[in-house]
Amino acid sequence: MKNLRRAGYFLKGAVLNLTRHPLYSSVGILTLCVSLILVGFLGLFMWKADQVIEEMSGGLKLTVYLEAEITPGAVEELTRVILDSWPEVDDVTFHTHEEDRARNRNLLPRELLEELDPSLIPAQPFLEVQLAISRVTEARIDKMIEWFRSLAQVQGVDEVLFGADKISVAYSLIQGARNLGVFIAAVIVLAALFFVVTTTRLIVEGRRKEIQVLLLVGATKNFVRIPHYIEGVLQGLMAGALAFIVVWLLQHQLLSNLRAEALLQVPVNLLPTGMGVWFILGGGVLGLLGSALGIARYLRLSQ
Amino acid sequence: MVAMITFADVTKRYPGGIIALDGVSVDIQEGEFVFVTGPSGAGKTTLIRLLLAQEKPSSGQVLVARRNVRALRESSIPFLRRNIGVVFQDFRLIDSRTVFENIAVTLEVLGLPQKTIRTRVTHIMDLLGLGHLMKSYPPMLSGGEQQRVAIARAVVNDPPLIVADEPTGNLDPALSVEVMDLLKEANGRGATVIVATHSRELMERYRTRCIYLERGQKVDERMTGGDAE
Repeated sequence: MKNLRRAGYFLKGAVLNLTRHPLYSSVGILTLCVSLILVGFLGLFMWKADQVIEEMSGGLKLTVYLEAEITPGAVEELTRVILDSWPEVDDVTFHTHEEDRARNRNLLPRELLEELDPSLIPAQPFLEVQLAISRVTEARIDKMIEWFRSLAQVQGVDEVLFGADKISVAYSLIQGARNLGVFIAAVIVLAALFFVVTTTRLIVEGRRKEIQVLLLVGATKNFVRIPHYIEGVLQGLMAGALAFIVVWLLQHQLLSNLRAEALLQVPVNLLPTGMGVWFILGGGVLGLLGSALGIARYLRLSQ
Repeated sequence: MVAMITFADVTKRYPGGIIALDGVSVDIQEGEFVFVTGPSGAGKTTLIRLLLAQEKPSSGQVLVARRNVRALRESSIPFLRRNIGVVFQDFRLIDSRTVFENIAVTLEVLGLPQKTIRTRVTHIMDLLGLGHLMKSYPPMLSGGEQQRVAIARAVVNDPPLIVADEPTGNLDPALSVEVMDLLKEANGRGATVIVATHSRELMERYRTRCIYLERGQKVDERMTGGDAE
């Protein structure tokens, strides 16, 4: 009963503190909100970066041309070996020589096609190997290129066509973006935490007298600490909701502008509603962390 | 008689070699009202900080309500302080809380039910003539009213010990007497009261024991008041 009463007191104390110190509360919420917007944009960037670069690199494909007489069993076996050997392979699709002819027909000028006997258009069955470049690792890239080159020696395979350079460039791009992303993420997360902790320390400093009085009348450090933590979490939750609204409005505005300039023709939603939950939860965690680190030193030095 | 406070050969040395208390020995009995006086720097505030376990003695023993301050674990300090009502010269009220909330904080720390808190705070406010200020904030009050609120906060849980550090330092003579009378009343209800003060007039007004400190040492101890010898 006493614990329940105490929990109620802590919750009430935290809510009252938010209203008793509107300036401190606003500064706290704003600080958390700005930090979350920075971290949120970064998260979005990192989340989408692989996908965007992969799309920009045109979806890397290899073409394994097969001999005309190859049996369906051999095609199936080859497909299985490729898929089993390389987790970096996203998909392998078999195309018949008629499909290849149709594809090549589309590449020829219309005037030429009118004069040309369709049976003269070159055609050959082939396997289209789709790579997921985001899954490629540095340790395996050279081995993978070499393996696909050597595939030309396998019975039933005529030729393997792929741009090894293109794969390497795309891989370097992805790797660079990843490294840069991790570096920027570390800097931004640390900066956000520093920003939040410094602000919390200033807020604690402003409430120094209140904390001293509480300790003098016999409050335990937990009695001082817990409402402060709850207050941090509440501020974080509010800041998370606010940050999500701001980021959503900004991306909405950005996409509207891109559409207006005809730079974007496909429907894109960078920020699904589910992300809101992550923003709010992230805010709560950041708020808790900031308040915990902010008050820890002060309480350690106080008697 | 049982000692509420015992200082046994207490020395408090601060970094830099400053000696705030030097071999002080004092016994204060339960229910006593004692003045501690002396010039600035005599060690009065250090003595109070030792009583509140804000400091630990460098040597010697400090016993407060049968607890040894020197041996007290950090986690036990709040429980010692719940037995001590404190009053300061600068009142130390929380400006963002109402008068009611400032007084209630002493009972909230004890985890009492809201109903009990309301009853006891209202009672002490009426007793100290603060009933009409319940929803006021400290910055709206006069110095005398703020000190009465501080005294209400110190006595609301009926602590066995009340410690006041220059409680009349910021008040005019009439208000000073009023504040001292409130502390005397608390003493009359059974609390041991220790008042650190500079004011010779106040000490002469009450017949009580007075401990004189100078440069960290106890230099005298005698009864004060009109008919004191």
